[in-house]
Amino acid sequence: MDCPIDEILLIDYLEGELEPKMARQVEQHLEACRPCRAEYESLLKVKQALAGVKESVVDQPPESFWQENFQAVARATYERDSSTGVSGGKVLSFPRFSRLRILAAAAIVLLALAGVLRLGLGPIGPPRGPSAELAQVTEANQAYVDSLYQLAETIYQYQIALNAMESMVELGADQENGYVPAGMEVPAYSSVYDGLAELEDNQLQQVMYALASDL
Amino acid sequence: MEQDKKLVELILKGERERFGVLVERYQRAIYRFLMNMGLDHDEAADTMQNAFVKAYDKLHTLRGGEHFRVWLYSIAANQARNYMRRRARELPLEEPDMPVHEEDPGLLVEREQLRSLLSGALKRLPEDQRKVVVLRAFENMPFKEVAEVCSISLSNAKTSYHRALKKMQRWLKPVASRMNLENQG
Repeated sequence: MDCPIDEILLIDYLEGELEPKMARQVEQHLEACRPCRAEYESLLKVKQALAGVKESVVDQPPESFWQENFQAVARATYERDSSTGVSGGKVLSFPRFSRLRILAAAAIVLLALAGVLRLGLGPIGPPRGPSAELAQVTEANQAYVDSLYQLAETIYQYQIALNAMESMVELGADQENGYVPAGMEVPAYSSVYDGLAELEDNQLQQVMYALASDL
Repeated sequence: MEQDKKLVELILKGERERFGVLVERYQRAIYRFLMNMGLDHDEAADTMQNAFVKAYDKLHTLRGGEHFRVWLYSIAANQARNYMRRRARELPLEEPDMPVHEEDPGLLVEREQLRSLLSGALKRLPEDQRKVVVLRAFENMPFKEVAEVCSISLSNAKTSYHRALKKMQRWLKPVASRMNLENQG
């Protein structure tokens, strides 16, 4: 073929990798040369089709998969280093489970909110004195408050389990056997206010925003 | 966020636990790459773990930590080779049977069908061409890096890409006339 456009030049043009001057020359050629234009258009269609499905070709595994993979790599590298004495017993730094930490923080705030709901929401209807009012509020919101508590506790316990897991790995425990080293401190269940005090300002702010948009 | 180069330096100086940051940074991309190369979930998970462990072991051989990403893809691709060769035996490189919707010529092929068609066509490409297409089209890798991962020249990377797209276009042709490919996605 006498065409000045070889396959590499065509790909460079297709992928936008040519200098403007060269790109214009190729463009002019494509306008004049039917076979080259047909080839370019057919390549472009496949490229665009691939771009269109790029995000969806692979099904995303659940979030826990990434943590499991991380732990598997952490275990394997730790074992290797332990056998060679390279790292002095260090293991890979765990990624920041930021989402879980925020969930745990959210749980603490939910507990606090649940407390507020217990005491703070006024009833509809004529006032009947503080005690009657509280009784009515408590009754009306009991199911909601209970579910909040339940949710909060579940999330909070999950965070505790996660912390425990981190500690186990840090201490080089054998997770597969479920062995918990003696003397390992599992964080105790904190009170609402202890929990709140532990939060960093930005975490607390994020949680409050998230809750404000949900409630 | 610390750059790969800095992290690699720190790891090699003894802060080996920092390798975890690199695992967290790249595990999703490597998994996606392996799946797009035709591995199933379990194979991709195994291969990914092996690739990270191998990268950890051989980190001292990496010259210039800024190339960690490309180097990691190379390791993953090499680790996946056995699986891919088995796939190649199972799926001979013949013209694939692409579904043709004769019963309804006006039917627009849905996104899901397009996804499945392209995924099938990708799997039927020879391994070297598939790797080039996946790295370029899905991982947005410059051709220079694609060539590095595949251990081929820059011009070979472009030629492989051209041939792969042509092949896919030929396979997809039976349905392409009814698929407005440009507007998909």
